[in-house]
Amino acid sequence: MMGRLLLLGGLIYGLFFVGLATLSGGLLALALPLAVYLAAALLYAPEPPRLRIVRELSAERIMPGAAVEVKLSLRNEGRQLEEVLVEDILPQALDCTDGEVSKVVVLPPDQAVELTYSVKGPRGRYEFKHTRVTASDHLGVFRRQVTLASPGAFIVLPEVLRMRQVAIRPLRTRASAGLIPARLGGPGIEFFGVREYQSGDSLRWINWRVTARQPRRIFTNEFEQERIADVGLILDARLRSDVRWQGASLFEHSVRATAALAEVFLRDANRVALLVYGSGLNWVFPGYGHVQRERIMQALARAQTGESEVFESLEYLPTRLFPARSQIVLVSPLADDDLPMLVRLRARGYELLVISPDPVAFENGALPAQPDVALAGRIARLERAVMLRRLRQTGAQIVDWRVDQPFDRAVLTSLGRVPRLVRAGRPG
Amino acid sequence: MLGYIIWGAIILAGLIPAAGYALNGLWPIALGAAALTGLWLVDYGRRWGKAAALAFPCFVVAAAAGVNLTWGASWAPAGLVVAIAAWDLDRFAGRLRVVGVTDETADLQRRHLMRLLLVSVLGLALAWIALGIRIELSFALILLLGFLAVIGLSVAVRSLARESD
Repeated sequence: MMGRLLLLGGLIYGLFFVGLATLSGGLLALALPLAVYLAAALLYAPEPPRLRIVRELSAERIMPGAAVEVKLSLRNEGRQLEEVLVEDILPQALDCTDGEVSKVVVLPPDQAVELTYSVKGPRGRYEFKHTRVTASDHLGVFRRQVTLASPGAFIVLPEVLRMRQVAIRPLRTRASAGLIPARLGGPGIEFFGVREYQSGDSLRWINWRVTARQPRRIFTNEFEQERIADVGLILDARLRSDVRWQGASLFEHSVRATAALAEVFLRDANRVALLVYGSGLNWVFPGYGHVQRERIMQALARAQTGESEVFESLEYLPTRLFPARSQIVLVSPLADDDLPMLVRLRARGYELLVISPDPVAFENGALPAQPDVALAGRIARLERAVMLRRLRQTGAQIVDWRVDQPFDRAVLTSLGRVPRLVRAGRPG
Repeated sequence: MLGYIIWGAIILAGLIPAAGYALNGLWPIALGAAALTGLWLVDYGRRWGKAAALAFPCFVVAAAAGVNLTWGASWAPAGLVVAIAAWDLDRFAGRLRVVGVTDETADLQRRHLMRLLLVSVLGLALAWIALGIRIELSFALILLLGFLAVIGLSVAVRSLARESD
């Protein structure tokens, strides 16, 4: 635009100068149409636009695949603007699915122009910041550009996969009744043991078979109490753990799995916390119910992979954030050097469930079928199998999840029955 | 509609100086103008948006160089005005392409074309009138006018450019 003014000025200047120098009236006359054009542009040259801007969003949080309607209204509080280009600056990764994000209009005083459009995007938090307004004369020679603040934000929540109960058995449970076996005798459904009858026990639960063997003593069945528990979810957001391939990201699968787990644990009335471990620590304090669900979903919507020298390995995982002997659920593809920290977690008495999206299968599926690729894939699979076996030997529960398979089926297959090692000989 | 007008303006912007030079037997310049028109047309068709900045000053120079040839006083101002119109419409079409067609597009086009037509007619009329006037100036007055023109234009362009951005 600036170039147009200089070009026009240069041509007029040149024609005048050469016309005077050569005493050619024709050249001076030829400068006149250009001068008229410049004068017409100058006559309608815009003042700095004075606009009041209002942004309205149809929703502040949406599910994946849904669209948000954005309505941007600009009212002219100054003089007439002959040609105004209004461009809303969209946050990255958002797609406009309907309507227009920019418009050229004539804007008289006290009149408003509206931009209405719909946007869709993948999981994340999207913040609108500015709208660019370029006012110019009709001929486009002079222009005034301003960037107006037009804040607005919305969140695209992660997809929540529906799944049934996840079988966990933390060493310590909380006092309230829930669905997690508490390793304590009492009212419940699952048979827990036999003890001597005490006054007040229901006659229905007397174990006649054992009583018949013991003269003058009566024995009654005891059931395992079911309570709620503390569950700490850890989402591995380290950049080195992520595998990206042709727009797909393994981290997105981890986020979806974490969302599904948070949903199921909160639905079962447990107290759930979330730690996103990546470039920093994003910690959602433990809580219950719908409010906590919302907090966790918003944190997951914002979760991004990142890099940090401090959090490059799991070495600095702040375990003190989680109550002692509680259930920790780590969602991570796992790296070779993560094993020692996980072993230490087990040694400190945490019950550990590792949901591990398989990075080898994820990447191998997209690689060409060549002998050397197949060999490399086989070696990587073997290394991963060895690491998972070592981890399993510590008593951790592991879900080795090929992300091309449904998550709930992978969990059901791996955790349908609680491993014997975990059930054996734990104090109640 | 606007598209046809732009095609027409670009073709005329090249055709007029090409015909003017051809009438005077200056075929290389006529062919050059025609080639430049072809380049501009291809550029506009492909929406590159580059050729106008090259073709427009070339056509202005062509008009300036041809104003003193036979029939130059007739075709040179006309060619210049059509070149201005083509250059202007090329930019306007580019801006409309950025935003796409909206409800306001037709109104905007109508207003722009009206204003451009007015400016073109006024410019052409003034140029033709000016070409018919003969004024004798003394050397000192020419020097003074030249000095004032140089200073005035420099100051004006500099201040306008500063204000505009």
